[in-house]
Amino acid sequence: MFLSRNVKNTLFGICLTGVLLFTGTPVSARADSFSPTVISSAKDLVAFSDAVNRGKTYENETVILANDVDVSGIDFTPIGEFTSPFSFMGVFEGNGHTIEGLTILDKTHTENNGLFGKLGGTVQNLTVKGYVQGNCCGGITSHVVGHAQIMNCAAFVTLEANRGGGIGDNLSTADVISCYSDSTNLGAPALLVSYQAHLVYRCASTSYLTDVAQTTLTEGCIELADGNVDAFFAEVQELLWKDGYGPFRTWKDNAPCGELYENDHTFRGKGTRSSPYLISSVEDFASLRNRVNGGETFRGKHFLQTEDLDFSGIRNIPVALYDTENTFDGTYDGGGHVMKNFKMDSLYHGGRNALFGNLSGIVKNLGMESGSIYGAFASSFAHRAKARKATIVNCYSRLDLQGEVRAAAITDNFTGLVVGCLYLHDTVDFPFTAYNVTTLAFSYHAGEQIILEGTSEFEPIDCYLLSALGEGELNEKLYRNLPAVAETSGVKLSSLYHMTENGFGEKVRLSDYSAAHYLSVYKYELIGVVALVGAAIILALCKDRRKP
Amino acid sequence: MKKQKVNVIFIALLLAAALVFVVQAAIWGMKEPYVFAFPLFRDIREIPFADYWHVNFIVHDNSPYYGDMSSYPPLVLVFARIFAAFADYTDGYETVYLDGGTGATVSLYLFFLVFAFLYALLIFRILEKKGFSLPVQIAFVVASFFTMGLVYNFERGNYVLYALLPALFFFGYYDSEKAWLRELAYICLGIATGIKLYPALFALILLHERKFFPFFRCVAYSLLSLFVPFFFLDRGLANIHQFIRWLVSFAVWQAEYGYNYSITNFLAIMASFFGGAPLAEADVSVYNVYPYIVVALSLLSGLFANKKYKVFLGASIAMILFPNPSFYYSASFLILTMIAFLAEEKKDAWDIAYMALLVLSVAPVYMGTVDADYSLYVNQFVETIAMILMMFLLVADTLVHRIPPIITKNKNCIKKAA
Repeated sequence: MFLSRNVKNTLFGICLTGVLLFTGTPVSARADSFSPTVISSAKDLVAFSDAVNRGKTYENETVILANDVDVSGIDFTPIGEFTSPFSFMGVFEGNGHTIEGLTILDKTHTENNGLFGKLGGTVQNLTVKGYVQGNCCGGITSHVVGHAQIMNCAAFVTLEANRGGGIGDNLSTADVISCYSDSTNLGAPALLVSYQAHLVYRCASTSYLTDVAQTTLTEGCIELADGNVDAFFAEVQELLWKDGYGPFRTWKDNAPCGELYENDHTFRGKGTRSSPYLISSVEDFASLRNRVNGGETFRGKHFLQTEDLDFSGIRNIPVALYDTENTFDGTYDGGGHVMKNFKMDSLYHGGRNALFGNLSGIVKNLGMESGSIYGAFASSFAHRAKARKATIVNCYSRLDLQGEVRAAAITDNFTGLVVGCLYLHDTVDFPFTAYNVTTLAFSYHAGEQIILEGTSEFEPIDCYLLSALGEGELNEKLYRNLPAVAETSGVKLSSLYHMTENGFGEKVRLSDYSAAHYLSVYKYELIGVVALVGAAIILALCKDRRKP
Repeated sequence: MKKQKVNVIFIALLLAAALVFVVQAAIWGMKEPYVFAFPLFRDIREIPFADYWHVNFIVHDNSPYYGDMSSYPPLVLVFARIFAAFADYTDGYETVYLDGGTGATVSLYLFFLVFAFLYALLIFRILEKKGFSLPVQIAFVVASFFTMGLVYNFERGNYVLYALLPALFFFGYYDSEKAWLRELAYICLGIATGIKLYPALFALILLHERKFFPFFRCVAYSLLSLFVPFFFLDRGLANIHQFIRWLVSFAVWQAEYGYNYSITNFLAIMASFFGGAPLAEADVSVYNVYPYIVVALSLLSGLFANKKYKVFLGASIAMILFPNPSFYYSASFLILTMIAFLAEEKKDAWDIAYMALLVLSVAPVYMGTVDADYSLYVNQFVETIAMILMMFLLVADTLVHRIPPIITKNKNCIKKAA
């Protein structure tokens, strides 16, 4: 070798030192990991209540009830008292256990009491038994703040209140789902919700459910005077699985204390491009949604819808809820089919409602033929792109959309690609997309605005309002631009279906378009192929024969 | 190789500039402890090694052109996947920088250590092949690490470092006696092109030496390295569509004035200083014809130059001054010119002028601030002007040395015919 070992070692050391001087990147400490609070005794529960009332909101945290807890003999202070500025904002996981002996006293009947005074988070899988005294009271909570949820709970509460509900009183912005109340107020059967709620869904009560006039939505609920609570909720668990909620504890002896509901549904197919997972029923789609909401991304997996899906009687929630880390990262091919009677109106997880809350993968060849989406934010296909590569291509929607804050036809805050899409509805007062779509191309809108003004730095490519098109022009553009749609979205043309204002037609065949059309659209791919072939030819012919 | 005074002075000047840089950086760091804001580096508000983290992020989901607005060629992105695998980039590259844990740190160290080791090894072998003694090899390695191109490259953690390595290999072995080494050199130039595109201009040396078949082979390898990596990305060749879209939009809207050698930015800044529109309102696009003039002059002059290092110089100036965003790290490729300069057997007054301008082009010395808001510092102008002067010198040089012999040759032919 041309260098002695000592010299080489020295030089290497110099280089190493020089590099290290330039780097000096600190090894940063890991962030503290999440530690749920576990409640296993009356003392723990009282301490938890004190913590919330002192200002710890438990936002983004889960508090778990590890076993049945008896708080008899304790004058319990509600968690997040009504008069306190603080509320519980996390998830209270009852885990199928019971808080019994709850005693909240208020002889003056001026305080609004419940296990929670004001609930801002989620309570689920919990049974409450006890005695609550006050003004406007509830077994689980008196009032709510924000989009609270009370799910799969039971209340066996004796109320002595001016107004009292087994689950709660004034739950104006809360969803009450799969709950049961067998409670009394002042000796008479108590309502499930005594004043109002945003949504009361698939619940049962021994008395009238709620003051219906004040409640926005009530569906799937029954009065159960002498009914079979366990059987009712067994059916509810299956229906909720289709909606997308849960999984929750199953019901035994009128309380949610059984095992977690399991549905052993499996997909047909292998999830590959040549043998995709088949979506042939609402149950298939529910399984996809629930698994994504449970953390699976299906990255690189392919789904193919083989039938039109009818969602009648289902109250959907998004696939991959917005305020979670979950996302769908596979390919969902609608196969030229549609979703009918698709309804979504819950404020679950903030009410950012769309078919997909977070999308990282591809959705193509899908029609949202009928139904409605309401929420804080409402759009047809996706609320947010979790990755910029998220793509919605060759899809259409006729959904009725209403957003309390904002509505947008196809996507809301979506930094991905929307190519070759169509929105059709009779009355439209919202834009096609709201924010930051990096590639918006070859799309058509029945409304008056393609992009919400001032919200995107990228200009749409070849997008039109339907009002600007003449008779028959829409179908002609949809047909003619389909190869460009494929090229712009990076999706194979042969995987797309012809789309018209009346729906999907046949799958694209090569003979549908002329060679010149393909040449103009696939010019970059052709350049790539020609370059590779040219390189091979050059290497074969131009051998380096010369000596240096 | 016979010891040359010019070479000694050249390396001594580079080492002196390096020493000044180190002292300046140390003083600046001590003057403002905890806030290392040495102006020669990028805005301190950006995270260190930003380009390294950013490239790893855009490639982590194997969809850099649809998943991000990447204007990097695909080969560097496929290569970056190796380093991106050390940490989880799902939540963005800032998260990895701040909380990436041991994996992120190890990947960064590997990135620099592998480069430093291979770079030093290549320089040693090339200089030894050209007959330089060990002290000269060591001095040049140290001096070259402290040229502006590499200093800035380290600060940004830019993957163009890994385009420099194959370019150096090509430089060192394109004229090897062994056929397989020559072929490997051509492949390396192709790889360098696949990483950064501009190193393709170094094939000019093959044209200069009339090695046309090797030239075409380099073209072939460049095409392969440009297009084959697309097949390793999601959506395959369809990515070309988006790659070109982002490449064009990046080149057009990137009107960054600071740390930037491009001729268009330089002219816009000069016009602004001499009574033109303020920098915030300057229209860089009105100077869009000048890069093409620079490329034509540099490449043609280099092609017909009378010395080998001038060929590399012509190619280097073209690749540094042409792109609209052409940051300091593009000056890394001047290292090839510098080695070729050292290896030149005979040096005259012209070469001394080149030497002075080369030193000015790469010295990482803080010379004062022009406009801190736009990150404009005196050294940027000195370096850019030095490169422009080198270009004109090259043109004049080529005209002076090439045309008279042609005239003389033609006169002799006419006389013979008569």
